[in-house]
Amino acid sequence: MASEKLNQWLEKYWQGELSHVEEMQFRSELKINRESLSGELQSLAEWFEATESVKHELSLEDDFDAEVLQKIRSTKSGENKWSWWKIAASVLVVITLAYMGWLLPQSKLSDTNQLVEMENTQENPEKAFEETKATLQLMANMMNSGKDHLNSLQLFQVAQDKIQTSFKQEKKKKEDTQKNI
Amino acid sequence: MSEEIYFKTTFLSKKNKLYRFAYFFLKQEDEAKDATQETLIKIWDKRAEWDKVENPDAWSMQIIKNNCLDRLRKSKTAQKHQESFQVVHSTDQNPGTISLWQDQWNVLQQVMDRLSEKQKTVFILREIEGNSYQEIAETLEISEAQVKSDLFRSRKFLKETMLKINNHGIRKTQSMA
Repeated sequence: MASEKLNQWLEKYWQGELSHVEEMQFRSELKINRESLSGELQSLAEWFEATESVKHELSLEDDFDAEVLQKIRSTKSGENKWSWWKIAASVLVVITLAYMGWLLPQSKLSDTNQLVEMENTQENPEKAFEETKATLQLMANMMNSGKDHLNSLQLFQVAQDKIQTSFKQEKKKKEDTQKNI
Repeated sequence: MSEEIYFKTTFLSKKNKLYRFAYFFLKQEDEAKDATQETLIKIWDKRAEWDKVENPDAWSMQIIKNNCLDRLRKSKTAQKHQESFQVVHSTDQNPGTISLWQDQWNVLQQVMDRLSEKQKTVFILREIEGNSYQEIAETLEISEAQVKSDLFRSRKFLKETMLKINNHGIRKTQSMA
């Protein structure tokens, strides 16, 4: 390419007036004619060469991807655990509401004598204490039942992890076998 | 497509571009690597917003730019800011190439030191990454005219630095000859 054209492009380059396509052409021409250039054009050709090299020299190592993926996967499993807790908590709320709204009134209706005694608990502190104790015992049983649900969920999580691990090992074995072949 | 596959193809595949960008702001390789990792994890955490993002490339550049600026603010407050670039050595073993690399590295450092943060961003995206004016404008949320104006200014510094180095015989290639 004529040096006149290169000099025109050089001037436009300094002014920031080259279009994207023109600039790509300019870079390419300077690269091709690098040995025959002098002065500013030579300096710029070297500059372009260096900016291209920066892309290769400044790059991350191969294990970077694995590090990031490991981190985001641990975030994901953390979120799963949290969602199991949310389910467990919801189950507990439903059980408590069912007890309060349905079981408790039923038990009151089934024993009218007890109901009469209940109305006068202020005059009979021992009875009140017994009633409170029985109610708290029932609540404790309900809480334990909720906890059992959580245990079964944890068992499910452990089983899931084991399956994933064995699947990964199987996959790795297959890959090793393929590499050996 | 699963979220993880989309993340790998759209964002993780651009890790080196993000890393270089962070390097020119933070001037240290380790710090730039940390910023890149943090940015990618932040992008993952914002996955609920992915479908609203029109230009994922520009979006991820904005996130790393903010991350770098936050880090700079903190390091300046703690007075731990690196004043000059940690020199990246060429992997090429040819003495001529190494020398040329050192000369140009010197030019790059001198130009970067004279630019404002916005001008530096424009300069990196255009000179190193080869982005178009439109792409730069979208990334920085400025007009193309503003991009051209910043680029003109940074190229003026580039020209001056090159002339200074050539006229004063600082070039190592010449001194070695």
